[in-house]
Amino acid sequence: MATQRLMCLRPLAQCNPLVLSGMLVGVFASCDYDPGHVDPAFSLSESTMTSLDEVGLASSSPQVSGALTTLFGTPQDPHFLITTEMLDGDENPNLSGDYEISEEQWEVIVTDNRSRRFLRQLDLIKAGRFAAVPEPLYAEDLWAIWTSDFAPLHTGEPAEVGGTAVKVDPASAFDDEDLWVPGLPEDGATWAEAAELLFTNWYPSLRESAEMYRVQCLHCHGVEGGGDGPTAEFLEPRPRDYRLGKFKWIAVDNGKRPRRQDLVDILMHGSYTTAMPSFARFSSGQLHGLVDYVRLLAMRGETEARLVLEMADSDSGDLPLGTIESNYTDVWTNWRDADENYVAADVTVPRWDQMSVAEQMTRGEHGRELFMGILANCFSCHGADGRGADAPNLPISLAEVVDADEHEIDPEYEARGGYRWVEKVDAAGRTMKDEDGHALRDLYRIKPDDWGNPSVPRNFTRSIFRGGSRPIDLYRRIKYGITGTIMPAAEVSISDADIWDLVIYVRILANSHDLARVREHKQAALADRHAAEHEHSDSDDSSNANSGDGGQDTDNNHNEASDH
Amino acid sequence: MSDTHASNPRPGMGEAGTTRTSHEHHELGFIRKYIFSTDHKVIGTQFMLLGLVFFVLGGLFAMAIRYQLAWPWESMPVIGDLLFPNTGQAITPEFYTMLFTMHGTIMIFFVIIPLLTGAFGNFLIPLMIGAPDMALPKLNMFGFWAMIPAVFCVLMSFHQPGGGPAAGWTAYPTLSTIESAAPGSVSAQTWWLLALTWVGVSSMMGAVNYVTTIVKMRAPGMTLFRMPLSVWALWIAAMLQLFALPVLTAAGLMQVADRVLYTGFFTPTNLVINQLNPEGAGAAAGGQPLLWQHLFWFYSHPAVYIMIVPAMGMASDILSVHARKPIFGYKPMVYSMSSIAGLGFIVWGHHMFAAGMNPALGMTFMVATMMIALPSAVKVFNWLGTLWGARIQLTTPMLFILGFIAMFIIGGLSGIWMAATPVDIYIHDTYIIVAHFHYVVFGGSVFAIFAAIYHWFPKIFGRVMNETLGKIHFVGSFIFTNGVFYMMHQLGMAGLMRRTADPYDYETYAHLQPLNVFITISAFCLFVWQVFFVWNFFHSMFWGKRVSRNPWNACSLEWEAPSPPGHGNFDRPLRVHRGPYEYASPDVEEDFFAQTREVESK
Amino acid sequence: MIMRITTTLLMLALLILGIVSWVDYEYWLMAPSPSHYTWWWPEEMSTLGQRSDNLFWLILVMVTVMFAITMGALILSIWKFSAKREDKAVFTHGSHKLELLWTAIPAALLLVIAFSQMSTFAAMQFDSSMQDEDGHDLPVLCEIWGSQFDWRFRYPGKDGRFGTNDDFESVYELVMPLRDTEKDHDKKKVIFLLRSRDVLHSFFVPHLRFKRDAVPGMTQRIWMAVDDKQLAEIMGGREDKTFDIICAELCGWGHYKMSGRVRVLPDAEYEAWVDEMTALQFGNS
Repeated sequence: MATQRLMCLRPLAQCNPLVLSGMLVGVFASCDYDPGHVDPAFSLSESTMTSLDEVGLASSSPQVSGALTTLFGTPQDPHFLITTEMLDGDENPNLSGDYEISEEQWEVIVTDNRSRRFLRQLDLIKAGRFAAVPEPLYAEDLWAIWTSDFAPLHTGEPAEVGGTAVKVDPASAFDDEDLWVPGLPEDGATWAEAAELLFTNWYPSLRESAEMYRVQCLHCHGVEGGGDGPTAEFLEPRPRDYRLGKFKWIAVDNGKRPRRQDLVDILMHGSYTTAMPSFARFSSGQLHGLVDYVRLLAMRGETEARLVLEMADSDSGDLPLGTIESNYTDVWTNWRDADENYVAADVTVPRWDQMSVAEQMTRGEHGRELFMGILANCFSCHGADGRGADAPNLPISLAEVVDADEHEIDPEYEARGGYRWVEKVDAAGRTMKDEDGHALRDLYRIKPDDWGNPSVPRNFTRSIFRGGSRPIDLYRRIKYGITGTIMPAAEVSISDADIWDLVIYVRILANSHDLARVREHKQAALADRHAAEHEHSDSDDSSNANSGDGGQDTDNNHNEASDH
Repeated sequence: MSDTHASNPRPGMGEAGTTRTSHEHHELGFIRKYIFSTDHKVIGTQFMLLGLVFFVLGGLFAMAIRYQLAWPWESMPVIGDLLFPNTGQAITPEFYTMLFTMHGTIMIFFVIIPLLTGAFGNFLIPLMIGAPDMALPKLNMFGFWAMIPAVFCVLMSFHQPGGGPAAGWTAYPTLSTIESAAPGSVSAQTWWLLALTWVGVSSMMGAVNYVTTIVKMRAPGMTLFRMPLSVWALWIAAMLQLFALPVLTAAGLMQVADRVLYTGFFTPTNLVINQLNPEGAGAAAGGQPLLWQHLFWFYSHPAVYIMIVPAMGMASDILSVHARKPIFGYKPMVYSMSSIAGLGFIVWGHHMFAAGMNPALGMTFMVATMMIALPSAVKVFNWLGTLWGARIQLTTPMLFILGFIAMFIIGGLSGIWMAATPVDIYIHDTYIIVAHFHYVVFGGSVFAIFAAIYHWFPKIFGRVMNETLGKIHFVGSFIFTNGVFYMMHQLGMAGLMRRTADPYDYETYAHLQPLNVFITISAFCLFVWQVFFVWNFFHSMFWGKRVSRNPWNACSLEWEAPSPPGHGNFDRPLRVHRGPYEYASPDVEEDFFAQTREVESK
Repeated sequence: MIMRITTTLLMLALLILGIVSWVDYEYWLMAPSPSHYTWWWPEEMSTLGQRSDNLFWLILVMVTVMFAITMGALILSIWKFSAKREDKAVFTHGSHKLELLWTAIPAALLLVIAFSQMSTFAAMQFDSSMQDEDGHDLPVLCEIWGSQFDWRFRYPGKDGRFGTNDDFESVYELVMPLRDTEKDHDKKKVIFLLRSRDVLHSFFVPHLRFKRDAVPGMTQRIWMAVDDKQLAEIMGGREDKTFDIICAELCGWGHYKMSGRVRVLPDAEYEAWVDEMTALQFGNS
């Protein structure tokens, strides 16, 4: 009997109360448990390892990672190395302009900070409720200053709130006053004023921004900013790989490094219909801090790629200090000078909202001609109807025909929509068929962009523009192209006026398929019909609008789109 | 405990030890006897073990959810290294969505429903109505074995590219139907739907069997109104399953079709989800996501009652036995359970007050929902009436039933806010909802399940569970259950939404973390405290005290059988003379008057 | 005896917890609040919120009384009838009168609740299809679009029509005018269209007690209105005069990231904001 055999466990069974009580004591002892996290560490990218492997230098990879650690630190202690050249020239790799740098803490920069998040704290400070000031997220430094130097405030020690403050202990936090709180209160300022300034002007250190990055960004963008976090593989389009130093939604010349403001804008507005949401809920200080860290990751990635090239080129596989430094300097010079490449800062945007409809239509018609013309050549990717990759017949310039039998299909690329079957069409626009009456089809491989994603041209009729839908945004996309993709910068021969006409045409495409507009038209048409049918109309339709089937009518506009 | 081992006054019934006096049956091999058994008791036990194993799994998911809510994005102990090597062992958001999806799924479809209808339904129905076995023993066996593909499918769903299903246990389209919408919707969702379908098949076989058995197999004299309330409750639950399950199965298959065959039942036109345009990818469109919600809740609201009605029935039985008093208002109890079942079919819309459903419908559902509170209230009052003037024995099962009543009161009362539409608009999908249904399902059903296990354990295994450990188990469970779920009302009042992986970025929620830490610690304690139960269960299974047929001195039929009952259950012919709750009857000297006892004039 | 005391105490503790936590909420739940936010709901500032909050209070009173009665009876019977005793329990199978009583009273209470909420719910749901004196639909302020994972608000611009070139978009921040119209609450109503690009979202503004799912493929006409007095009282002294928008329906892995803010501006400031946004729309920054 199985039961009999189990009897040998009996002695163990008898001590159960002791065992169990021990376990439970353990549980209660862990009640003040406060877990930390294991700190992520930078590693070299896959492409680095493969290219080193190819030249037989895989064993030298520590040299690269060592150099990178020296230059950029670790996720827990990120920094920019200050080279002699920088010190001499008083240049900050993080910022262009006249900013003094100190040797230890020069990753700290102070920008104009219109904080949104910390308004809560400010409200309470103004109301004199210092003790109630809640700890802000991702702002350890700020909180440390608040709890140490302003301790008398939030423990309620000062006799009268708002009275003249004894100056905060200058030895500790405000030592580097230029760095931390630019407008430190003069002697005689009140506590409340000092506290207000603290929460208004705080700017995160790189370390804090790295922590914020870990929580908010890392699961998509990865530890090194390679766009390879755990969530990344489910996203289409993939999260940006910073390591190329290329960004799409920028206001600088094609291929150039983005300005700080470009990155802040993306953080503020997100990228519509991608998984990149708006992070506007954080203070602008925090967003600028995040941008600092993203720039660090991008520079790190670029330097890594350059160092690997240098290494492969050298015979010995050694990296001399000078090489490292010069590459590093090159990279950060590009980033520092990004503002100089700012484009279209002084163009005048036509005010179509003040234009007559006739003028808009004329210009739009001109835009359409350009769109279909061989010079601008927009239609060859975006299709004659502006539906881009959603068009039934894939524009050929976008993809190459591959032989389905011989070409080795990359399943990952396929899963991401990288291949598409397209029916063959003869000159007259009829579908070609074989003897059995089956349509003939070609397999196309959509060309990848610089990050290896299929280059999918925008469908204008959806009225979704990821880099912003304002006229100036579209103007920049057309005039300067989209960095890293097959969308080229406009030919020099296309004048600014022509580009604006193109923009108008694109907007017309988007607007004419606008769901609300189509709905409005339908309702107007419906109302006309009702009127024509002699006061049959009553409240039946209006109650429908509230819910239920009300939405169905918005859904057919796509068919209309293809009709036109 | 003294009465537990009181000698049975009935002659010929009280031998300690259990010689199996079953009929001359050829001995079955181990496999036929314990694995592919057609014996309802073995099948019930199989369901029970399956349910308890999944209970641990679902509980672990809950712990992980609680961990994230208390200390978001910090390293997960133990699993961190294994699952999240790239994030410094911190959980990822898509894993979190998988966690709460599968916590809900497993707890509902693999724990509560199998335990209540599968385990106790199987074990109790034939014994309580005096039948030798189920009406359709083979179907019964298939009923359990249909759970195996379900288990297989649900385990497979964890191993899909993209991870486990992540569209919530309600699987609302288009999040669940469009592959690109969520990592878990790539292929895991299909496995999830298949698992649900198999659970449905299993439940369906069970339900058919229960109804047939109850209608056809009752012992002589066992009229409908002499059946114990457990049997009534299981019967009603089986009817609910019979009518509601086809809808879920159909809806599930429609969703499978949407996912696999690219039909468009639930997919409207002109969507762009994570870059994918379903029509562009060859799917049909023009569907309506609300259709799924209607179909799903048409099953899942009755399913809520499938999860509580049997618990109510068993609670009534256990209460009456340990209070040594007839159940107060037997017929009102039956009628209220029936009306819960009836009304349960016309209240599903209260899950959709904020869903954009036609508001005129909202009014109807609101009134129906208000009305369904009534029978529940009647039941509570009847339990209180039973307790009044009773001779309460504070045994472990009784303690759990008292806990059940207290927590069911809380869960029931908080439900009234949800029925009030304007209030529900605010609290819809907040933690008040979470608190409410955990009070009903954990404080209610699970406590009743614990009570039932303690109560019928002697009948199932012929041995009794340790009372001291049981009482320790109750006290801790009761404290920590309230520690976990009571404070969730406050989270909900503050507006905290369910299913947010990291709520503290919102200004409205930033201050709620300490409360969540408290809840999490309570939850850990609650989880660990179940060690007392697990220990007690397995220890008593082998080494518990052997007991006689009727350790609790109960009236109903299952106690007439040997403990554990042999094949064919009863060793003597039975005739039922009265209702199942004749405790404290003045007609006899003892304080219980068994259903089968011949009428004797006093 | 130990069990008798323990069980009674446990139940008593639950009763006290239940009563205290709701009845004494001001001290108990609002005390630990570090800032404007408490363990209670955020201050209500819509024209309708007061009505739904009152309904909550009405139910709370009823529920608390019922809770006290039932838990009291439970505790009393546990204490009283679990004492060791030799005699049998009372032999009774129930009482029709009692059954009738405790069916009728809750039924009456529930009906009171059911009828007292109808007008509020009707106002919430149907008033968005209200028309002005001339029989026209009220103008739509903006389209609210939910998509994975942010809220976007598309305003029709100066011409009040969608699908024209002066439409502009606001991400994250929904700006709505505060129509200053004395006591006429109807005129304070602001109409929106609620839509979703991809999956279900739910538009939840705790301060306005508003929540509605954004269903893909469906356009819902919704309304919100802010009570100016409440707004001035609550937000008046604050630097940050905005409040949270929260996504209340699971919309994927990034559900928790889907946030937004509402900013309510007086009419004149709202117009200025529209001008500013239009300028930005045609700006070159």
